[in-house]
Amino acid sequence: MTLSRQAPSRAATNNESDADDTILELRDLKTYFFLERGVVKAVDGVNVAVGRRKTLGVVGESGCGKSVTFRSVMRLIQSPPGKIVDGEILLHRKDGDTVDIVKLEPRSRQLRDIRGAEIAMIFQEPMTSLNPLHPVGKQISESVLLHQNMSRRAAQDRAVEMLNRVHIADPERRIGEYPHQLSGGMRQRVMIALALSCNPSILIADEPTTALDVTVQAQILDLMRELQSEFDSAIVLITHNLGVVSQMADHVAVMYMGRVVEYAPVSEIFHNPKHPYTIGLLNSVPVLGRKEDTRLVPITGMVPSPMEDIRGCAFAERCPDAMEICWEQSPEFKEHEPGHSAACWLHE
Amino acid sequence: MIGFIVRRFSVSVAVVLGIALVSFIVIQLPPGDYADGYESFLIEQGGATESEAERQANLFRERYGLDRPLPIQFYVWIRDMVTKGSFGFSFAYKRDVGELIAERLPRTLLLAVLAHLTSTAVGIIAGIFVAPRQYSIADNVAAFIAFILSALPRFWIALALMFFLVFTLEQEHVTAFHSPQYVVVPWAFGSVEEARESWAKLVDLMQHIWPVVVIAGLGGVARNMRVMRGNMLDELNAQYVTTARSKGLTEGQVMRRHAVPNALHPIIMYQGTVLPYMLQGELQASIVLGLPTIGTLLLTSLRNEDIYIAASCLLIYGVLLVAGNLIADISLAVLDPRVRFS
Repeated sequence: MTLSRQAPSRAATNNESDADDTILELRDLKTYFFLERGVVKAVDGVNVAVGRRKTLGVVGESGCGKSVTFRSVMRLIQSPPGKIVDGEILLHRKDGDTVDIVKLEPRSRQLRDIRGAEIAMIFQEPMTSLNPLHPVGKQISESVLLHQNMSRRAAQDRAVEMLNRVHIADPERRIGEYPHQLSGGMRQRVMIALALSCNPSILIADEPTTALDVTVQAQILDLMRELQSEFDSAIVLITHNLGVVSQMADHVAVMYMGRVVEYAPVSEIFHNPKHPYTIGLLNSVPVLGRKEDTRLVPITGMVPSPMEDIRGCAFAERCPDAMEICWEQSPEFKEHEPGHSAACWLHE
Repeated sequence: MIGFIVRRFSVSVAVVLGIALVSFIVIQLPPGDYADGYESFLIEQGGATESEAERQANLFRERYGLDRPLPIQFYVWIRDMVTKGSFGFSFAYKRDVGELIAERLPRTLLLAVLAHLTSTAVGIIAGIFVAPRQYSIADNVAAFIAFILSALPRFWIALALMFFLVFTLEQEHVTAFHSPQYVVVPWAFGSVEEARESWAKLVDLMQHIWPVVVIAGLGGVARNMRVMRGNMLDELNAQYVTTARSKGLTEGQVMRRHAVPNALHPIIMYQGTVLPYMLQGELQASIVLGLPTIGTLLLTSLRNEDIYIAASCLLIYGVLLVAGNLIADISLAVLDPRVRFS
């Protein structure tokens, strides 16, 4: 099997076995923002795949393009100024078809059928992600009515059932309540209920626990894991919290400056990191009980401006192991060990 | 909900009393009174001697209680209003103020409400239309027109419209509410004949008042459009709109069910202040077009210190402001659960 820039996605052509274990594939995805000040290459050639019923953790610091990548998958990028300029987003649909989401019209029926029903999304801010003017039950049943052929009454029952599934007590009463009457953790549960109400095959969770306090975070993560097996959904977990990733993910994609720089099973990422950026991330995480003499090591320097045209590796100027070639030529993202890919000259 | 309305209502009553006091005091602030004007009128026009004129003026003051202390005058004014429904006596018109206002209030309100509905409906729809097209040609053209409209003086628009009506459309009667032949026609729908006459009168009325509605409405259109556009842009960037899109709703459904109701919030708040604004906005146009509305009544009464008219008009403005706010609060409570439950 030849693997150039498309490590996780394997060969360019789809074959049967591929469709079996992969549900979503991004190939060389590029999403740029065309601003007056210049072009921001927020996503600049991302290759990653999501396995059926698996959890993909996507990590990276703020502005690395992790959110934009998966908002592109939902086609939620505001245009103008944003635009998917290149690449493919291949979704293996429930009916067995494979569709390239990039090619769909932004307002097309097909895209709307995918949103909510096949790919659902939950967001970082549970305080603002629900409409303050509608009762939460109505917001869940709205989605159900849209995608499933059922009566208002049945959709209402479905909303109650979903609130029950996310462990909200007294769901019959809660569906009539408004978002401001619920706590942050409850609202995030409602968001999860909303997202899963139409049995999507992929749940994209964009920093779902960042705005919650620690005990609630743990509850929400437990809940997501529990529901994943019940609903047979794949989860894309976007986060900057490596601890969350280690608990939740099957595979991890590390992003830097709009690209995936390393992709591997979760244990590989933590025990055998290949990219210096991944190593830097791991070194800068505090570990409970670690002795004080092993101080946290921050990654030096700053993230370059996304508008800069960078020759060579984007991480070179912050990299402790940068070599001459790193400044000259961008490393290819390829598989170095089975299932473990990275974009780094150190491993050539 | 009932408790909320009762609470707001009782606060409103107190505010109205305060407004009555303030409007009465404000009216007393300019030096002199109506009798002074009467005095100089007698000297100049009636050929009376100064002492004779002063005697007459004092008699006048005594008769209408203008010589009594202010708190007593205020008390009498309020007492008569509450017990007899009388707003005092107009010195200039020699009639009861209540009658004068009752005569003009329905027409004034008709104008104000028509103008207001026009400006709100057109403004909101225009705002909703341009918001998703930010910085497009449509957006810039709308902004340009809006700024021109809100910057043009109302009386200038009135004059321009009048010129257009008379010289271009050759309409014969542009001032007053009706053409002369319809003034005495009663509003009646007893027989076919009467109904047809009344219908013709209504058409005639519309022909006379649409310029005022347009003039008073235009500034409001501009304002409502800008406000609605701004709100819509805020709401369209809100997280819950992204949530709505990610459910798979059409763009139209996202706008109708989610963005627009939230964006209406500040517009509804603004409705509370809009009634008196509309009455004033229509003042300049009414003067130019010679329409006998409350605005023109207040203006003349202020000029000749006809205090009871002036104070009553101010009081009515105040009451409308308070009533408008009350209505706005209640509408908001209906729309927004956060207002209702807190």
